[in-house]
Amino acid sequence: MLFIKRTLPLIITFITGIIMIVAFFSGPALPSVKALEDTFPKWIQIIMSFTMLLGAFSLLRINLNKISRKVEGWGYSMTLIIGFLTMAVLGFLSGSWPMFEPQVNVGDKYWLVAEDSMSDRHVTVVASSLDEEGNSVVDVVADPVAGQEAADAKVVERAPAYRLKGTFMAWINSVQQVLFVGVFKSAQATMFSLLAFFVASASFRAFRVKSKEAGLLMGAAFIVMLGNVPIGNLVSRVLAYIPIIGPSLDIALIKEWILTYPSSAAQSAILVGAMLGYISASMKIIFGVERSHLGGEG
Amino acid sequence: MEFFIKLKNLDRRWVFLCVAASVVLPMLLKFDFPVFPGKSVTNLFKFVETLPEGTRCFLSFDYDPASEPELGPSAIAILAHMFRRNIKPLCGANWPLGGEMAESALDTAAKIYTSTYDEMKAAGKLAPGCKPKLVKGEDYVNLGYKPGAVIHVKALVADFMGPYPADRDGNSTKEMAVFKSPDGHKFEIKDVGIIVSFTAGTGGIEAFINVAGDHKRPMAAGCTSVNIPRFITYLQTGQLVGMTGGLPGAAEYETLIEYMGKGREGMAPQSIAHLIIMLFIIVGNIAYIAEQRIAKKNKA
Repeated sequence: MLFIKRTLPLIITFITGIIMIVAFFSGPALPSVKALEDTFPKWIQIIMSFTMLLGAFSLLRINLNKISRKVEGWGYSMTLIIGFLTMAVLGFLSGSWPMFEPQVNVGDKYWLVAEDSMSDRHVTVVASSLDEEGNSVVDVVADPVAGQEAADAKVVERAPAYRLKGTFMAWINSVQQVLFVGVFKSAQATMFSLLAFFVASASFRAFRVKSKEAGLLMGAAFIVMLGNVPIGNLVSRVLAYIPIIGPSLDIALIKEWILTYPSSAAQSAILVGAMLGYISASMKIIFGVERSHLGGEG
Repeated sequence: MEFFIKLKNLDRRWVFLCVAASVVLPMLLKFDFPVFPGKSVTNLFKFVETLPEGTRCFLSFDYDPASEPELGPSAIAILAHMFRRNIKPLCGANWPLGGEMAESALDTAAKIYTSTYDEMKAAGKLAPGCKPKLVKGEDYVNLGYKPGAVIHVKALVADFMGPYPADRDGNSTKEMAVFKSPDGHKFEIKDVGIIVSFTAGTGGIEAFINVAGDHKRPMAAGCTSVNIPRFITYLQTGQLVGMTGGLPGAAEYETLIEYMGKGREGMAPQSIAHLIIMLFIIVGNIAYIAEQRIAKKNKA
């Protein structure tokens, strides 16, 4: 059991790690190793797809556990489970709709979903055929709606057959879009937008010029903040009236200089340091020194 | 002095209110500030201009709804520009919700293209091969999300069509016109004119930069404002041909393609909000100095 849990994963990690390193440095000199390097990404993608499934089950298990034991905050777990199951069921139904839909028949009425899936219209299929690429396409006429001129209603429109849905699937699609765009997308954007309020409040309370370095930081921050928005150009125009040095005080150019040279130099140093650490951590995993990813203590 | 000390203890709800007003009022009053495109955005625009008609470009949507207000306008502007140059975007995603983001950006860009077609054609700003209506699978394609980030990019280098047997809607890519080459060869990564990644965090443009030695394609990025200092390093080293940073980057690109989109609309609120935040920092520091002086006086 220990062999399967510990030794085998270590052997697999060592072999694949060494193959990838050799393939990188040998290039086309070792074609068989190169072929393996080209095959590995496919395997990794398949494994990663399974890890998503594993993650979903793990999330469900942990939260169901919390609900069953009624630990503090179990209500949040309940909300998560309801949201998770609702979106998963709607997503599966919506994505695999052809299995639930009858074949498209000429003369029948369907809902034609817009390309962005955000809206749909009631239409009647007048013809069904295959396009040059072998995909099923339909010619549809929109059903008249109140206030629409009769001539407009008779326009024949060609659309891919996959955008036609029956009443049930159109309803599923609408609910999914309302939840995704109206709830999830808006909630995520709102959470991110709230940062602006907290940044303003935090900088008002905590950004204090207590040293020369802090003064330098604030000066650079002001230039970058101004240079990043159009109002910086207006400020530059005002500053240009200052005799002698005025014309050279172009906020946007100074911002560009700060970002391209001092900031970029520091970033490069951080990146190089991080990459050296990354290589060191990878070597430790490949040679089995670091074993925390196998579970238990490292 | 006393006034500043009082200001220091200002209830944070007033700060929130001021920030909200600085965003809402310019939007209601429709302030407009002139936008001057910077070097990195202009370089990207010029690069797209020089691509021959019919070039396929790979656009990776590596963000989710949280960053959509910041990165969406850049993506839309670049897509609209590509459509006007008759360049065919192949959209993919390294983030699970990137496929959805690509779908909405493609839809908006296609609408911009069709609504401005006559005007642009009259002004001679469309490539000769441009058609009034864009066709999915022929002029563009949304390939959706694939897991793996850098591993996925490696897979694309080995066989571009391998990870994409079907597009996001489930249509087979095998017979898609957008992947057909005039000489009949199978579509490969070397047929891509430029790789553009709209990056909100990890698994974005850096995934493409990491294997740049394998794909050898020009690259560009659209990133959030907080990521500008991180990615500007790649601009300096010449690994990126251009970059649109945050909403201002989008506004600059929109100016270059002569379109008033969300980027340019957002410049007034963002400008005023930046000024307000700077004002709060200055006031906070004046209060701090005042407090220090009072403390010194009391000590003496």
